[in-house]
Amino acid sequence: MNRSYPTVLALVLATTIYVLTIPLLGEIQRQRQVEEIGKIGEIPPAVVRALSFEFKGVVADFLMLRTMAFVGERIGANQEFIQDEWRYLHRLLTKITEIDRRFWDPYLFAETMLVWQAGMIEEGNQLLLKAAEHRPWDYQPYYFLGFNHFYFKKDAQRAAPYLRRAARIPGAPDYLQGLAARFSLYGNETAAGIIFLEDMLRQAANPTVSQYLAKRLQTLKIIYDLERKVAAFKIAHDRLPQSFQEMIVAGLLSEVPPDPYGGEFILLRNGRIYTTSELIGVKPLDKK
Amino acid sequence: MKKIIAIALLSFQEGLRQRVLYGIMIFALFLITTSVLLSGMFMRDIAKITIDFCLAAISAGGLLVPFFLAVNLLARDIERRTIFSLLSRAISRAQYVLGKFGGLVLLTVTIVAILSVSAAVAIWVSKLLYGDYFFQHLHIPALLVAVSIQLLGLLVFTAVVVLWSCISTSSFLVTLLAIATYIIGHTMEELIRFMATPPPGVEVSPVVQKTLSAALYIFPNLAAFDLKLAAAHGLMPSGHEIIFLLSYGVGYTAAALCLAIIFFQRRDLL
Amino acid sequence: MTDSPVISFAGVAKSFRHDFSRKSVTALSNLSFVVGRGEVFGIIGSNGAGKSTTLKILLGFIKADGGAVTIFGRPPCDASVHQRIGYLPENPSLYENLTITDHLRFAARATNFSGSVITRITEVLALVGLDHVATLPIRRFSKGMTQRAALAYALFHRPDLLVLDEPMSGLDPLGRQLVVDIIRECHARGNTIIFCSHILTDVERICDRIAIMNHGELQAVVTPEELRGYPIPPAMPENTSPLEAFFLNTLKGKEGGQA
Repeated sequence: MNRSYPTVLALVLATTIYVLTIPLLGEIQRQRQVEEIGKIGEIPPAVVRALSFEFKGVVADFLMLRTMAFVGERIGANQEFIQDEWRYLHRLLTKITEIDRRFWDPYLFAETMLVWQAGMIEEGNQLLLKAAEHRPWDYQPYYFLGFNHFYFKKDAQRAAPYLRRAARIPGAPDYLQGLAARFSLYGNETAAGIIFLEDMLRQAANPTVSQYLAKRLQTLKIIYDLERKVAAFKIAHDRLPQSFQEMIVAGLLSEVPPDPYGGEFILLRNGRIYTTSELIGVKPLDKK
Repeated sequence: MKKIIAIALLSFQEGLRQRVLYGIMIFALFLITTSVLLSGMFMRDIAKITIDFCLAAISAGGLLVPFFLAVNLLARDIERRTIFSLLSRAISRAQYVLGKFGGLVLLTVTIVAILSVSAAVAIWVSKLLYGDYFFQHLHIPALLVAVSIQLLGLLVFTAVVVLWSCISTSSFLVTLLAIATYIIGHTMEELIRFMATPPPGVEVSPVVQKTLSAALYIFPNLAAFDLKLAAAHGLMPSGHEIIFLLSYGVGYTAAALCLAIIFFQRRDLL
Repeated sequence: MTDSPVISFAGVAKSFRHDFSRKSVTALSNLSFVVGRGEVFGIIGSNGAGKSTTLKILLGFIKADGGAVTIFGRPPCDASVHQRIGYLPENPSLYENLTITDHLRFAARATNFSGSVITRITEVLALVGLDHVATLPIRRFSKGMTQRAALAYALFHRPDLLVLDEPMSGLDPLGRQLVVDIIRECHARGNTIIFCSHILTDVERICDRIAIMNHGELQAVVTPEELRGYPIPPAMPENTSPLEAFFLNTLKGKEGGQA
């Protein structure tokens, strides 16, 4: 008889119990995280800064990681955000950029999520202005600012100076200069959106985010393609098509392409394409 | 001077044999893996994340010395009577304090050096893994300066802890004082900045203001030695900033050690 | 014993104040004695009599409140006189993770030892019987071994004055004999030795003069010759030594001063 037998038995029992509770704990923590994510945002930035001592960088990284996990889970589960949650997210990103003002990820995240998803363009622009101030070596804040003004606010006049400033910063891609001109010349938001999304996609490291961007890009490309065909119809017939059916008859289209988001494309009377799915970023276009 | 070095070497040896370094090595390995894995989860600032973690780990590793070794520096020596073996060897109390501090300096430098090497490995692996694109703003001289200034900050803090341990024999009290010093040293500047421009509606009483300005001259401003964030973004501090920090750090350390010697000379060793 | 004394205490007083309390405890009062060159001076006394305090004041670890202490004609805090002193603390302890060799090397460095350090290390270790554990860390040592190691450390630099605080405690009979032998040897070489102890028989065997302390005061200083033939009171057991009888009587206050 081994004398340690009871101890081994107790060990097996205890281990079983704690291993079994791990998934439950995970569930509880997930719920708690939703509550906490709002609370973290409520702590004044000065306090967070002071309490991070000399570990401000790591604290900012950790908060960013939590934010991304929270949002990533929502996207993964196809859950809608409620208005309050967008506000939490905004406050959280503001906080992170207060702890480490040069940290680019939260600004980029604000652009992808707040601006594109929630339509919080003003908030996104404010963060970008902060980014531009603290990252003078980076062309991206001005680039995004220019894009937001052009694409979402329909203000090419204000967009152009931002893009020119972005183009002047060393390391900016060459096409920026041309883009600034093209933005103001053609005024085609969809084409600008495609260029922009492609650029974002190039930078995305998170698979959930890049998947998400890719889908959006695919949809925009379809819309762009449709818009070009509408333009071709106009050139050929000297008027806008009334429906997709008319374009199929004219041989420009074989069928109405499906919306990757599950909605339906609709041809508006002004020649623009609209979709019934919630493709935010397109919606503002029809709010005129 | 020879005697100071002799004591420094003795306490350094004793520190090494306490397997401090084994712990540090494991910590370093952990650091490399974590920083590489974690930085992969981010979108853009991968270099910044890697460097954040590496520099934070260097700080944390270096902080082990003041918090765990310096705290019971004298208390342990007195409690275990080892101090008599040293002081009966024609060694003055000043030499003893300086020698002990020297030993801690050697330990800190060794720990920071080991962690810096592993940080370099972590950055290299991360660069290899995620591509040069994310490491455009990697600025090695800025990192080296940040680590050196960090080291100076650690030495300032260690000197203050040595001072506390010369004033009190209780290692518990010394630990409390060390924690307080650390917290004050890292928040003071933030508080003073807050007071300079208080948000509307907040009134700062002159008493609080005076106390804080007094604290500024008494406690070490440890936050000033924290250049980690800037270095992570590839920014180099200016030359005169470095010179200011050097003079402040060296001056403060010397003052703290002198005070420590004065207190220690007045003490009865039971 | 004629030229200037190696140690001189004149009216030394010391009291300790405990933290946060106003009460102070008198450890020494009006302590005066001298120890001449080449003398073996033993201090005996009950627990808390002030023996260790006396030795620590002598070495400058504790500062006296009043009176004058000189050692080799200098004040005790003068580090240069320590060059000539070998000190064995009570319940000595060395750095746990270092070897005795490490300690002796440090001793050589700290005392500006001239000559071959390695030869001296072997010599001293052989003397205290620790040559077989020279590379073992101190934490592996038994209490007696640590005592021997500390003794080696005290003897290393061939001091003129040995200050030993309870040198026999924790030692087996062999070890005690070793300490006695070492003290005799140093004595023969003309060194001065001051030590305190509880073990009266050892003190009786080796001392030139014996001081008896009680409650921080010096009660008596006697020589073994003076003690010879000291009458043992009938109340005490038969095998009581003269020193023991004298010591007990002194403490009881029945007899004081010179026997």
